[in-house]
Amino acid sequence: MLSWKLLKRDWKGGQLSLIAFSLVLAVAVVTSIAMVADRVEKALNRETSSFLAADLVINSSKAFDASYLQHAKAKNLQTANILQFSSMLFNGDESNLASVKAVESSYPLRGQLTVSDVAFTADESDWEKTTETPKPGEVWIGERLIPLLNIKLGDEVEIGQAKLKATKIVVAEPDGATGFSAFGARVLMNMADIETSQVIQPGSRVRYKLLLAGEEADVNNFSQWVKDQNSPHERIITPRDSQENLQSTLDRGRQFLLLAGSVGVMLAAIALALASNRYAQRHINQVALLKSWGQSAKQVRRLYVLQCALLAFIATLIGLAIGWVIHEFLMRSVSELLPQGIPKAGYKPLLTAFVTGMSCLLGFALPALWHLPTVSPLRVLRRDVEVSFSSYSTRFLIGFAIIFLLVVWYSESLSLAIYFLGGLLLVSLVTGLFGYLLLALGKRVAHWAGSSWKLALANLWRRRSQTLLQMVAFSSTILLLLVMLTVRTSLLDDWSAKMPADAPNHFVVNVAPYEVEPVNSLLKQENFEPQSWYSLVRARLTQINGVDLTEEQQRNSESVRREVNLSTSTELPIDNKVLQGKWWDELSGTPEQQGVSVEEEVAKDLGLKLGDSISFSVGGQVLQTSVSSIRSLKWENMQPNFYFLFPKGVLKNYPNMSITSVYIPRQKKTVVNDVLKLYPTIAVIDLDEIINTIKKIIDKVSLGLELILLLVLVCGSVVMFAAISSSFDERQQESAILRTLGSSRNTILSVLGIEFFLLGLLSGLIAAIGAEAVIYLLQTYMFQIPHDFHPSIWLLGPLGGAFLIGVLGLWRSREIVTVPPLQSLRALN
Amino acid sequence: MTNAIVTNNLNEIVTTAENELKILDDINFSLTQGESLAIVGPSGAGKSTLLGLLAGLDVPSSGEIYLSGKEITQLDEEQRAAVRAELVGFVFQTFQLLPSLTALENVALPLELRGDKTAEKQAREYLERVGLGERLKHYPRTLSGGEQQRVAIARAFACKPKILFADEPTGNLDSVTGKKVSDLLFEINQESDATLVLVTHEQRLAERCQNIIRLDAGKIKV
Repeated sequence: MLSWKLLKRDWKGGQLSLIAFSLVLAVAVVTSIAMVADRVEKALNRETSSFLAADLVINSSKAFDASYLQHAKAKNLQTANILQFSSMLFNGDESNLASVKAVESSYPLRGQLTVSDVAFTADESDWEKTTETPKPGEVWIGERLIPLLNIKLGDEVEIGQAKLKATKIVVAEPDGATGFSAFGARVLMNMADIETSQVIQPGSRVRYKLLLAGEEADVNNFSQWVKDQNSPHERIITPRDSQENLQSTLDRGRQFLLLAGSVGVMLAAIALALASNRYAQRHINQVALLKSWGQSAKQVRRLYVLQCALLAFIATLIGLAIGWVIHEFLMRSVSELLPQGIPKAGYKPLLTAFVTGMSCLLGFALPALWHLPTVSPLRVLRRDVEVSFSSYSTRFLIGFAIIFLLVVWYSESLSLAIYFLGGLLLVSLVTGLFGYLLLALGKRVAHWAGSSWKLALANLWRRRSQTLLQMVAFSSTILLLLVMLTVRTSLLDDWSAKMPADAPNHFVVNVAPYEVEPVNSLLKQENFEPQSWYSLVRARLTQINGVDLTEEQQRNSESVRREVNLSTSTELPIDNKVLQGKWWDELSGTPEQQGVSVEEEVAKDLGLKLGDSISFSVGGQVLQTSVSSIRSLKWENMQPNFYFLFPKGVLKNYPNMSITSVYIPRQKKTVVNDVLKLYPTIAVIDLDEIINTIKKIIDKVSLGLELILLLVLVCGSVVMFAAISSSFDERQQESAILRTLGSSRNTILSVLGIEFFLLGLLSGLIAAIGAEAVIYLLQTYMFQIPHDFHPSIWLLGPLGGAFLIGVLGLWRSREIVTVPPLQSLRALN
Repeated sequence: MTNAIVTNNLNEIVTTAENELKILDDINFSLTQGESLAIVGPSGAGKSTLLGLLAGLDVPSSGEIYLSGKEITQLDEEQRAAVRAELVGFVFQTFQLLPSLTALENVALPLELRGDKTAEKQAREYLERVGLGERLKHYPRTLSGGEQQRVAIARAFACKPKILFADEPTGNLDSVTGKKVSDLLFEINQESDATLVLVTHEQRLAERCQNIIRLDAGKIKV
């Protein structure tokens, strides 16, 4: 095929490499991201494939009334009770906090459990699907517990007072939680062992679930009956709710990744447009020649379109292969956070990649080439015959429309696409404006600089539209990389370092009222100083000023979406400050009359004012009070902090558990196990562990994001390559003239070097300014730590940018100085 | 014998902002198959414009042109392209070789575009004929000017044109190389019995043609 032959020849001639590379990059970026998103989605979807293990689940913070079971029986519904709670597990000297699920033997009502005798296996033949549950005296453990407890099948696990034998490894539960939890360790035990374990005490934090299955009408009927009970502690969950929640989370994740990737696609597309433009310019004479030999415009167009299609097809295949390799790297970096045995990616990412490749070709390469066949054959004789290409504004509009459609497709949301592209346009404009000012300033300064600097700055200024395009591409990518790097390397450490050395690092929770005193003495006996003890009462906010909470209030405040902890304190806790109203010591009346102190953010979200009356439901009882003060607090101080505080004694008649925090040095952590053995119902949350887990998750996720950003940076470099290429002939001619006039190679090299070095330096400087601003926002609003400057950003951004772009730019333009001037001039003539 | 080229009252007028400019003024001549013609004249006389019109690369403002009996001025670009494909070959002052193709590929390309299965074999033969059998794989940038023009001649004749148009074929070459190239051009032209129309500044080259048209300000000067 002639088109194929011509394509091969053009490739050999080096005219297609940039076009092909841009296409390959665009496809690789999208493939890798789409594949990761697809596999993560599949893995999580599979783990929750049956989602509920039932047709309906009633979720409650208190035990179900006997009437629930009776009613379900009357409706011929199958039932299974589940208890979920956190508890310390022991295997010899090893201990770990785990999420425990106690089930009845009828569990699961829908779907199956996946269990295995082999740990950490992705080989599905090792898995066994079952509807059995652990027998009394047995426990099935999640894989994550194996290294944490140093346990193997057959070992005994202690949960509270019960000693249970580990007999299976749970790979997936039909109503399984995802593997993302910081307390990812999970176990399944028989409900019959709950009593022996004695882990459930009045006030213990336990989630009660009633699973139901049966005819649709009966299930709906039952669901309505539960709604009619109007209990604020219960939540009805249908498979659709469960699926919708998961789906929307996954959709958001996928959208975010693809939008990040679309920046790469955009940059690659810009490079493609620049490269295609140059290709078209260089092919004007060839087309004139072909036409002088008798080829019609139609034949020429067919020839080029076929060549483009072939090129796009091959580039897409290569892009897919490279994307696959990158996705493997990405998967490896996040695999620890995912369930085992991640399924393979489906056809969707391939479709996404293919459509992206073809769209880039259509939107960015073809518009540049479309008018090529209209070149007059007379140009073979007269170079002054004009060639009419489609205008740059038309091409911009076509390109923008294609990118817009792609982003809408990736994000599946028109509004998101508009915001995203609008935001990007705005950032580009600001960056461009900033770059323009820096260039203008540079031009003024150049008057006092040496001739090489003067020439380099003049070059940057003369090609300022290209310069600014590259600056926007580089600075935005470097900015994101700097932010990621800082978050990963120092921001979390800064956050941890802000804690005093002896700040509490353990929360002791779930302590029954009668255990407070002995636990306190035990800790003191070991020379630890527990902070104040707080009693905790689980409650749900139900009314404000006698009116049920509106949907908006529920949406706005996390504190009313789920149950909150109420507590009491005589003293104003450390780092708390009364902003409005008065603390108890300035109030008169009985403790009950002194009302409640509310945290400022919650008060703002709920629109609470001093004197407002609020009602809580506590285990079915109503607690009514009024707002007597609004207080600020520091969440990051590692002390128990509460949204709602009452005077001491007000909550004593409600089921409560106590909590305290304590500093335990690393080398004495084994003491925790001794305490726990004596008081097995207590749970100890090791904050160091949690911080480490958070760090690990952020580390892994940001490493993955950094990989994507590096890809985006490569796309930015291709834009630079394309920009250098499009001014290559001009540069070569200038260089040849300068050399003919006696300039040394070194002079020209230094002009080029300074030009690219400055481009990188300025891009890096803009990136550093932006990155410091973003980090300031992160520190102030997310980590809530005082802002400090990051000298590393100001060094790494400009110098890294200058080095990277300087080296790449010089490498790309090496031919300008290595080809003898006569040859350059002859080639250009 | 059929005339290879006939022109009747050929005029080319260019309209500028101020006035009308007559580039060619009432050109009439004819050539039989196998004859050669040199078009000479000072710069701006309209030589290249006439060559372009004769080759069907453009249409005149008025008048008729016949190539091998076919009237081409009434044809649209597509139809003229078909006539060029059938009858016409070119040699240019600037060689017009494609820089990304080797000598062999440059010569083979027009044949390949016609779907000729033996394109490469013929290209090889013609390159050997012009004395470049050893340079088949060389790219234009590694060939001298004379060699590049020999490749262009091989490419032009490989398509076996009935009429060959040459625009200043020696204009970019020194006199010795120019002489060698023009010898080659005339030799192969005689072998192929093609009609040769060339535009040149060089009196000696023009005198080798059977006919000479001298143009001055768009008119044939007798």
